[in-house]
Amino acid sequence: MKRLFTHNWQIKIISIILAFTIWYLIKKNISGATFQQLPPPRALATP
Amino acid sequence: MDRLHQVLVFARENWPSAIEILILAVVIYFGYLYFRGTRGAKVLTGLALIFLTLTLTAQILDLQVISWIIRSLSAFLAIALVVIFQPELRRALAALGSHPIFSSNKQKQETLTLLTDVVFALANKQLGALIALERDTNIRNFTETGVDIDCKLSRELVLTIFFPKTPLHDGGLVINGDRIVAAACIFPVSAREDLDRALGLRHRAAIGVTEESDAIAIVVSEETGWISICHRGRIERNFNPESFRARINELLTLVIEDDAPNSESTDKSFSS
Repeated sequence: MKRLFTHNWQIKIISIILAFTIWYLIKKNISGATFQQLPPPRALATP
Repeated sequence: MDRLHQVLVFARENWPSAIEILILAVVIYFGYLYFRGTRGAKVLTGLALIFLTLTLTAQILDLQVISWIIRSLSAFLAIALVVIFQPELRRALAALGSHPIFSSNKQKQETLTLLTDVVFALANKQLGALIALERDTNIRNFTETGVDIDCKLSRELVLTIFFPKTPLHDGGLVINGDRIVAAACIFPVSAREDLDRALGLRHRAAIGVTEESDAIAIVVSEETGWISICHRGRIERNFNPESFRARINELLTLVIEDDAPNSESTDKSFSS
């Protein structure tokens, strides 16, 4: 278990930082590209 | 209590993101480990650096045109990467299938017995040999200098490879698991001054490859038939089949903490 964290720890930290950066950039793009929700239809008053 | 509740709510709302980041990190980590040391690694590092720098700059400075270009090119880039790294990807998937997790202990012991048998057969015939056992660190930059073999380890094949005057006998043989990866590979020669001057280029190459990776190198001396094991820049010898098998088994299962290259070197006993 200790080895899981200590073995190649520098590469693991860089991987997590990179993963977070990529995740953040993609997430930002996805949320920016979502379509604006249309307002619910309103009932027209009949004459 | 309120604080704990906030943390729990935060964790409940964001656990999918944490899993996403973790999956990405695992893919990046193992991808890096696999491509490290290959020729493709430099191309991949360069591309990743350009892509990340441009993306970050575009996001921070809100450069819309650059962002649009990156978004448009990213789909093509993904396809281009698959085409460029097709051989590496194929090898990576093949390596995943032959990972130690999927191979039994019995299979490992059989390989070890076969390796011991081969090495002592080489020693008895006084055939000079240099064999590197690949471990966690990828040594593809060295295997690429040789001839691809990619076949199951066999006594006859190794004896044939190291038979003098055959085209592949000069250079190192790389073994990964129970497979011979490549032969006639050029390993870096150690330039350490504390080594015995009587050590030949074959021994120095064995030490050199273990200095630059976590591979285990086995050398059979052409002059004396002596067997040496090199690991982390250290060289050990005077083995009988049992002690050789036990030492290789020990080194193959060694955890990295006990593996430190700056621990006391046994090559002093060899050089003195």
